[in-house]
Amino acid sequence: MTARWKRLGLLLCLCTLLSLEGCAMLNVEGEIVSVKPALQLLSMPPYEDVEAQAEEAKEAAAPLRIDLWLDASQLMGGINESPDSLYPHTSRKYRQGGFHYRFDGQVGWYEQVLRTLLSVAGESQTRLLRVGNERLPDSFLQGMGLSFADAEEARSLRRDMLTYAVDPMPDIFEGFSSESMEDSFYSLGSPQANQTARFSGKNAELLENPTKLSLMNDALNAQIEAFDTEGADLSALSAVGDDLDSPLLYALSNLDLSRLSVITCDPATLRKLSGNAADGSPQAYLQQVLEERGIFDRGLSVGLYALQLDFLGEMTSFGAADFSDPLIWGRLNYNSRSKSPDAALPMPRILLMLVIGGDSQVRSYTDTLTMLLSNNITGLRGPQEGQLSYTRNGQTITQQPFSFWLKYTEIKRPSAGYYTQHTQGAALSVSNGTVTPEGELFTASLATEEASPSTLTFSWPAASLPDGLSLDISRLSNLKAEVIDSLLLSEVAANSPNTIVTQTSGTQSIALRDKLYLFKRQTTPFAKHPEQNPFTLSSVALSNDGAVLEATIEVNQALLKPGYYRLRLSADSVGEQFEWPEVSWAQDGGSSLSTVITNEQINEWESFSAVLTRYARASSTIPRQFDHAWGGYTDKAYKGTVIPDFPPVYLAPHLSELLSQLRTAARPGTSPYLRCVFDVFVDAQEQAN
Amino acid sequence: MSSLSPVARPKRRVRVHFSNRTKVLLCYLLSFALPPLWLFLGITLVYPYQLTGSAPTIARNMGDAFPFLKSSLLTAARLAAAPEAGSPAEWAAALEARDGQWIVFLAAALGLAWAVTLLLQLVWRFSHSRALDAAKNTRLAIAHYRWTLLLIVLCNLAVAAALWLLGVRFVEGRGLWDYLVYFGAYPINVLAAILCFRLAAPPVLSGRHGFFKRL
Repeated sequence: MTARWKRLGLLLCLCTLLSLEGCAMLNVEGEIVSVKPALQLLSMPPYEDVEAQAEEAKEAAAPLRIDLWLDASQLMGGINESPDSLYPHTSRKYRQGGFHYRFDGQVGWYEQVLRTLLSVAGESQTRLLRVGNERLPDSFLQGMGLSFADAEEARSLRRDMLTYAVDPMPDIFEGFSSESMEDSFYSLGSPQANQTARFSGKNAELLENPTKLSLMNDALNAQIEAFDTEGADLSALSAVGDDLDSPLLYALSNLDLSRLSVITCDPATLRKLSGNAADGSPQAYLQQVLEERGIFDRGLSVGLYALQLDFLGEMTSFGAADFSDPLIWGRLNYNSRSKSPDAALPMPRILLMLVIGGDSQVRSYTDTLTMLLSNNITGLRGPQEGQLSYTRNGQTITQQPFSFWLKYTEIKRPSAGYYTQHTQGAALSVSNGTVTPEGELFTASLATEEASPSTLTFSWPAASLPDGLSLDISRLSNLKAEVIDSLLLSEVAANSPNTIVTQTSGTQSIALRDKLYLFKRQTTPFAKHPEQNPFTLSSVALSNDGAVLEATIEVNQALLKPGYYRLRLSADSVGEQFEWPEVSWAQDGGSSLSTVITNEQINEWESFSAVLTRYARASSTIPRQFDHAWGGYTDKAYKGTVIPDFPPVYLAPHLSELLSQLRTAARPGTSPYLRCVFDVFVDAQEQAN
Repeated sequence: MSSLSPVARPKRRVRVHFSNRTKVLLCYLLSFALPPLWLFLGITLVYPYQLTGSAPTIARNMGDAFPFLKSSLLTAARLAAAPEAGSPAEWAAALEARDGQWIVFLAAALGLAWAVTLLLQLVWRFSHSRALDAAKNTRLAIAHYRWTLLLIVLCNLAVAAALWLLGVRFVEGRGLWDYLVYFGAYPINVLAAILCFRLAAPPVLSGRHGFFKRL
């Protein structure tokens, strides 16, 4: 073989080898190097996370202190306030005592309620405050040398002066149910209103203003003396007959909001909870007090109890109705032969009780209280043989034995929930593109080549609202998808050594081949031209049977620019969106304990009691018919006057309105519902080229 | 005798002649310096302003083409891979690694072609430097020159083809600058070899009017 053939052979071998390698290389499926700039090189500045900083207000960890505001109105004690009435103030036959009656060994269930209130308080410091119809106006305090700098100091002074005892023993309530009602806990201007003697010496430290004990003592004595003085002007010191005042409103006005407050309230003392101002605008008095004190603004809750208790006594008023002769509700049972009473026949009446404090405090206190009251107060009371009857809806109602029961509901400022990107279970999805959780924020990557419009959907597990509360999502306000920050392509320059990139704050550049893509950072880029914002928050709605909250954002592809958008979705809830659950026992309706007293009824009752006074006074004895609750139904007129239905003292006047005003006061204003921040990355091709 | 006096003798001008060897060496140096210089200038002056950011994933492609290299190139391929959901810093690192690996590959490919070209040319040169039977030797040298040149062209073509198949063909939007920078050195390589063949042949083969010119 010649050298030429050898060379040719060698060349062929080399060519074959190269061809084989060439074939191997032909099969390589390499990654295509795109002509678009790698926008992944852009970096959005870290987000200053204001949503994560929003923490729920924590309740103070201070030791629990409890204020028991005890209604000391004359109605509570069944005291006859009318000096000229047909019925005597005290007698064996018309024994008084109201909720706090005592007959032999039997005392009203109210005392058991009070003992339970103390028992639930346990070792917590407990203060008893007497809130009756006596008032301590600012002018009176200043006149007595009790100076104060502001309303809060004045409240503090009043609380001290209303303090009956601090950390009392349970037997303190026995004195309240004394058979002698003269100067009792419930009588108007009672000497018992001044308990400063309890706080002499070291005990003064139990008061909020121990240094002013002496002045407070003088002021209280002066007040008691004024009530004792015949013909004294009590208009400033007494709330009797004032339609806009009641022990409940007075207690609320003077609450110490740092403590858990329990307020007992005879609903018959609620004369008016709403009215009209001089200019005709509607006024809700309870709501005003609650709002002025900022009870719900401070995150406090109100527990509302309705307790059916036993009552034996006289009622000289019922709501806004004042009677010249008191109503007799409950009485003693007389042995017909000996004419001496052998049993008390109380009648059922509703007592209201408000528990106001931090949410967890109220929940904890009321849970225990409800359990203890339900377990401890048992048995039946009242007339067992149909001795007592009254007229209701034109029919004679014979009272049957009744038991203790309670109803409870809680009112607190509702929260619709607060949805952010940090909410557990939050997720972002996009119709055309991908989503990556980058850093603390979700990043949705959009493909601009897609012809169909993109839709972004942010979803959260829907928060369950407490206690049957519901929220009308369709009425959310201020829905918007705002671009709060951006890093968008602003210029494509030639990539040459002569190109000078001004590295102003936030400007970033990406070089690709002969082009330099410049991206400019801008906060709120569409503030002046919102029509250029490619994102629109089209809806916030519940899906999956209310289990998921979804915010849908429509993207206008035509307005998109390559780069990053930082979006903040926001929506606010307003108080009107909340739909409170029905509380059948408190709201107007068939089984409600609430009653509404009309002016016609008041006129009817007051007229009839006036007739009673006028004609019965002439006789030496009270007609048997009127021994109790104006007697059973009769179509016969009394002295030409039709005997009306007995006032519904067994119900709670204004209870429905009270609940309504509590709820209105608790209703939040405009509050953030949705604050969600995420990034949208637009990896544009067409625009970048 | 005075005419014999060294003082009286006229001064002779000293003529400095570059030896043929020096000229040959300079010819080799100049010719074979051109291809690397071309690539160097392309990478330093052209690449950053015309081609930056367009480097293919050469380590991964080489690993795919030559499975026996895959394990060795795994780390490099990982470094240059586009990170899924990576941070901007990771992306920058990947692109930087990609650019670096591509430039190293370009240099290595040209270095291979350059070395083979120079080697073949030197083998030819030293095979025909003996001064025996000059005419026959010259005829043989011309024939060998043609074969060697063909081989050199084939080698350069092969390396350029590998460059195309492994990298350049994956670059979208490639243009004149891509071809000039990436492939321009290979024709220069061949030209350098031709230059050395024809101008820097051994003295026994070259002459003023011969096929191989003497410098």
